[in-house]
Amino acid sequence: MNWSGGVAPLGMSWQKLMMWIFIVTDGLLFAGFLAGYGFARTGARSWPDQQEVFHLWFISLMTFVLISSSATMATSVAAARVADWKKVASMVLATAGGGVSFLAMQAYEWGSLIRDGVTLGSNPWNVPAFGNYFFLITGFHGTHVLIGTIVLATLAIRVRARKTTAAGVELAGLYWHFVDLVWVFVFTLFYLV
Amino acid sequence: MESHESQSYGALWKIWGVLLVLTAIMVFVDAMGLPRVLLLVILIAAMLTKAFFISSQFMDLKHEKLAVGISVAFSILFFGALLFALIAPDGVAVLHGGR
Repeated sequence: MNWSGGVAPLGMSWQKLMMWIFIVTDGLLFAGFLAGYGFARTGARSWPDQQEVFHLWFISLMTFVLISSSATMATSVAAARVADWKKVASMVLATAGGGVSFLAMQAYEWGSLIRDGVTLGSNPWNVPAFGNYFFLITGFHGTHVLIGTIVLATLAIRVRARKTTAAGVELAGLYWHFVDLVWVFVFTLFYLV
Repeated sequence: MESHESQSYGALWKIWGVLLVLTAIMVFVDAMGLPRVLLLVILIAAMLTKAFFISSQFMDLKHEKLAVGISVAFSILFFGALLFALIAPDGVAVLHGGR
C-alpha cells in the first residue's frame, strides 16, 4: 500500500478522500443492516414470498430509474471534466429528476404495502421481522436518495451560476453512485433472494 | 488536482446497458424457479458484477490507486460477509433454543 502522501494522500484531493471515507463508513452501516436482515431471515421459520408481496416489475422499474440516473450523473461528471457546462447542467437536472421519480415510486410502494397491512410490528404473513427490515432498509436508502436529490438540485443551481468546479460535480457524483450501489445490494438481497 | 483521461459518453452508456441487461437477467432468473443454491449463486454473482461496474467505471475507481479500491471494497464486503457468516449462524442457534 502506497500512501503517496503530502498534500494529496493516495493521489487524490482531501475532499475526495473524505468522500471515500464517508462512503466506506456509510457502506458499513448498510452492510450491518443487510447482515442483520440476513440473520433475521435465516432465523425465521418462514419468510413471505417476494413474488407475492412485491410487484417485482415495479421494483425493476425503480431499479431502471436509479441505474439510468447513475448513467446521467456519470455523463455530467465526464462533461464537467471537459468544461461542457451546458451538458453538466442538463445531466445533473436529469439525475435529480431520477431521484424524484425513485422517491415517488418508493412512496407508492410503501403506501400499497401499508394498505395491505404491513407495519413495523405486524404483517399478514405473521413474520414481524419482514416489515421491520423492509421499512428500516428501504427507509434508510430512501433517505439517502432524498439527501442526494437535494444535493443535486443545489448543484444544478450552482452549475447554472457557474459557482462549482469539476471536482464539486465529481463529489456529488460519488455520493449518487454510492446510493445506486447500495440499491444493487438491497434489490438483490431483499427483493430477489 | 488528480488527472483523468476524459471518458467518452458512449462508453458510459454502454456500462448503463450492461447494468440493465444484468438486472433483466436477475429478474428473469428469479422467476424461473431454479434450485435455491443455483439461484443464489447466479444472483450474487450478477450483484457483485453490477457493483464492480458501478464502482470501477461510474465511481472511477479504475483511475484511482489500487489501494483505494481494495480498501473500499474489502472493508465493506469483508465486514458484511463476516457479520453474516460468523455471527448469524450462532445467533440462529440461540434463537431456536439450542442453548
